[in-house]
Amino acid sequence: MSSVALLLGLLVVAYLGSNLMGEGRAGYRLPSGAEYLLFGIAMGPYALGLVERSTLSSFEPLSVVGTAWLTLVIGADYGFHEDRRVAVRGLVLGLLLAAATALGVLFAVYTLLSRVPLLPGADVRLVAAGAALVSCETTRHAVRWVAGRYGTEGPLSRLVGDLSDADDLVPIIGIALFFPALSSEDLAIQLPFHVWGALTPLLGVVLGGTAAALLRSEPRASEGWGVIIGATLLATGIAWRLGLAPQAATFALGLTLSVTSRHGKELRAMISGTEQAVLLPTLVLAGAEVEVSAPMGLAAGLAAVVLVRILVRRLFAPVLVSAAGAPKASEGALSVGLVSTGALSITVALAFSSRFPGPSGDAVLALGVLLALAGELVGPRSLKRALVLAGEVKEARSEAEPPAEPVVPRTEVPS
Amino acid sequence: MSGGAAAKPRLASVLQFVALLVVVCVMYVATRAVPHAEGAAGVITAVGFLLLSGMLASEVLGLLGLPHLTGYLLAGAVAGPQVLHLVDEHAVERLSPANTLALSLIALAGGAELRVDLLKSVLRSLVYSTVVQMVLGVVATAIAFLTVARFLPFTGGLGRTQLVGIAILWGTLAVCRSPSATLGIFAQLRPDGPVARFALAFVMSSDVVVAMLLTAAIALTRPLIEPSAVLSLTDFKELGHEMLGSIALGTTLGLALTAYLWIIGSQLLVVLIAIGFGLTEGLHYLRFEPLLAFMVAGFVVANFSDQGEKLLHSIDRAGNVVYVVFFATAGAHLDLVLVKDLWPIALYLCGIRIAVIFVSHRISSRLGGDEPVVRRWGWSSLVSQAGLTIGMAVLIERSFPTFGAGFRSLAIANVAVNELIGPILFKIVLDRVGETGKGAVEKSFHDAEGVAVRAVAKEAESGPAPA
Repeated sequence: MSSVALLLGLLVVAYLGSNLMGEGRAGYRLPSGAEYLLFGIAMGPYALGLVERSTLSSFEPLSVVGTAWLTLVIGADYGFHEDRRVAVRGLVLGLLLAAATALGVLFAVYTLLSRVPLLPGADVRLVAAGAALVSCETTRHAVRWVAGRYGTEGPLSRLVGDLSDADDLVPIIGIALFFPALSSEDLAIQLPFHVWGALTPLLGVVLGGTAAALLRSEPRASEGWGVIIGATLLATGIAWRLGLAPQAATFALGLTLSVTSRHGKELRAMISGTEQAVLLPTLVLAGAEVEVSAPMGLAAGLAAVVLVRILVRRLFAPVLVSAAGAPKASEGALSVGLVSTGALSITVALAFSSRFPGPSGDAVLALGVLLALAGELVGPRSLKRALVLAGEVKEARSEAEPPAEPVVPRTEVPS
Repeated sequence: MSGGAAAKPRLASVLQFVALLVVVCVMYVATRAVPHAEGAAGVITAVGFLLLSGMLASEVLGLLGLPHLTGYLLAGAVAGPQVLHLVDEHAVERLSPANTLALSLIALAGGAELRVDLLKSVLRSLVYSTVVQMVLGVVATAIAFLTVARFLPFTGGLGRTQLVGIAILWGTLAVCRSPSATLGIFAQLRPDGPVARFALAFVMSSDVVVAMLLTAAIALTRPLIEPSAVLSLTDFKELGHEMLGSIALGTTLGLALTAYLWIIGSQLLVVLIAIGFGLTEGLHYLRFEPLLAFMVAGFVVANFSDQGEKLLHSIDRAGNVVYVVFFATAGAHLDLVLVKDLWPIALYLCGIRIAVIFVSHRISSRLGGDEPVVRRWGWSSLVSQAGLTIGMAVLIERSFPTFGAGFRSLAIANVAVNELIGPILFKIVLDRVGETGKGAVEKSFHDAEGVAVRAVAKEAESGPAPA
């Protein structure tokens, strides 16, 4: 398939995705966009072979820009869940949950791979760090999907929504610190890696502040698309050029724009509106780029990651349930319900595979994709169950008697 | 950034200037930290930088009354490989896909701006202008070229007949205008009035005429330049095929776009990008002319449906970004070293060209019975030259490899001068004759009128309002 045909295909995906499968049409799509990952895998070299590896490599810039744009969207929306601010409790719990998951996965994968050489040619430290960063989030898409589809309402729903938004910061800080650690040798200016790591968000803050200052004189934020696109591309290009993490720079840019611009609310709505059109082609590209060179190693890594994720969430579940004042019965379902990963995990995995090409990057990407697919199978279903048990699903409440009392239905409500 | 002509507060201007400095400093540090970034990172950085710096430079230069387009060009030229080297040659070359998209949008917008009633209103003037500008323009600039031919490095050793052939080709290039520059000025100033209408109709329609003229010139001058060659009509056959095919495909595209706008109407930006990239490739493959096809498509949408405004609005939104990159890249592409070497000749030829445009316009305006304001100022829109002229120079280079490279270099030096002078001149004239901003005012008036009419109709349908 030629580059132009692939580009047109991706545009069609973007078009269909944003038109037919937008946020308002939750019933027509899977929670984390797994169907697009599967579509990419089907098109890629491992299944139908319609897209060759050489064509895919020419799309690397598109993949970098796409992932950088997605983190811009996440950054602009950071600290907000839909229209309301994320509560401090949700923010802290989200950050702690993501950090604990990252540390747990890092330890588990490093221990496993350094003792049993299941991924030949891969750098164990790199794969462990990559696995930790792609597995630490709980995707807000799955949480919003469940909320949108089943009309959930209540303290646990709000808390889960808040922490799924808040935990995005951990993988972003991770790639900001990790990428420059392995790259500064090509630079004319030699600085310690932590300085480069700090410069990554600083670049986003400077360009975000500049963009916000420029948008200040505009009567409407929509007049400023050129400024936003220009600043994002500049941050992406410079970060990539310096061996830093473009996704971390654009996250900082989005956050700065959202916080400092007088059009903050309008900008958030504007930028968020582009997410589906960028996310879906990015998922297709990620699926197509998956390369499994050591299936056993990958399976073992995936099992370790999933187990650690569930374990950490099981440890956090009592805290979450108690904080939300929900019944203890929902703890078990909640710990499985928070295993879904999605857009940010795939973004980080793609960033890894682009920044560290070869067996290590491939392993991280494959792990990220498989994790998203695995999470899709059990996550939303369990989350719904947890919320039903907490009495926060509207349909469940309306069927229960008497409505004024707290309800803990024993069976799932048919969708 | 809004392109409104309203005066901006001082603070906004200061902010824009400071922002420009910040962006240049950030880029300077990045390019010095990694001096050679030939991969995609360099291209992405270049697009972002050209976009931001182009917009900021245009706003800052706007304080001096210069058009935005000049700001984009200057930002590109200063940041480009020959001055600050913030954007390298490799990045500039790899930005050609952005140019493909920009040109398709420019052609679509150009076609959509050409309304049948506009063409009818200026038809007489258009016919006289086209004939006089083409004939007098080709002859006079060809003679001017002959007068300096012996000073040019690429004409050494050529005989008189060959020089005449090359001079005719030069004359053909000289009558080429710039639809992109004209639309760039229109996008910023939203002008309306006799001068704006004349400029739009003439520049857009002259595109087609010049393409035919160039084919004829290449066929006719080949026997003069290459003694062994004979006059062949094959070129005309190919041209006919290209023109008819482009018009047919453009009409089909226009109808398809109309149907899309009418039935679906959303996500037009994605559709335009897909058309810009995908269809241009397809048209090149079929050996049709994408610019003509897109122009016809825009014309069909605007004149045979009520979807023209919607299309123009969408192109305008995409164009706010794409045009900046297009012109800033053109600025970075300017071969300033060449201009430095050839500037006396380039300046002479540009001066003659402008004089010929002025005189030809006065003659054609008198014959066509134009309004006094058009008779006096209409020529100002015909000076700009840009990508189309360079494209034609490349075509001549391919047709005549013996002298083509030098010929193209001289053409680029001339385009550089005309590209900088033309838009400034046109903007000054539009400001002076009071046509700047009239298009926007009229449009908002019609919009407001439409809203009022709809409100009255709705009220009539629902009956009198309750007390």
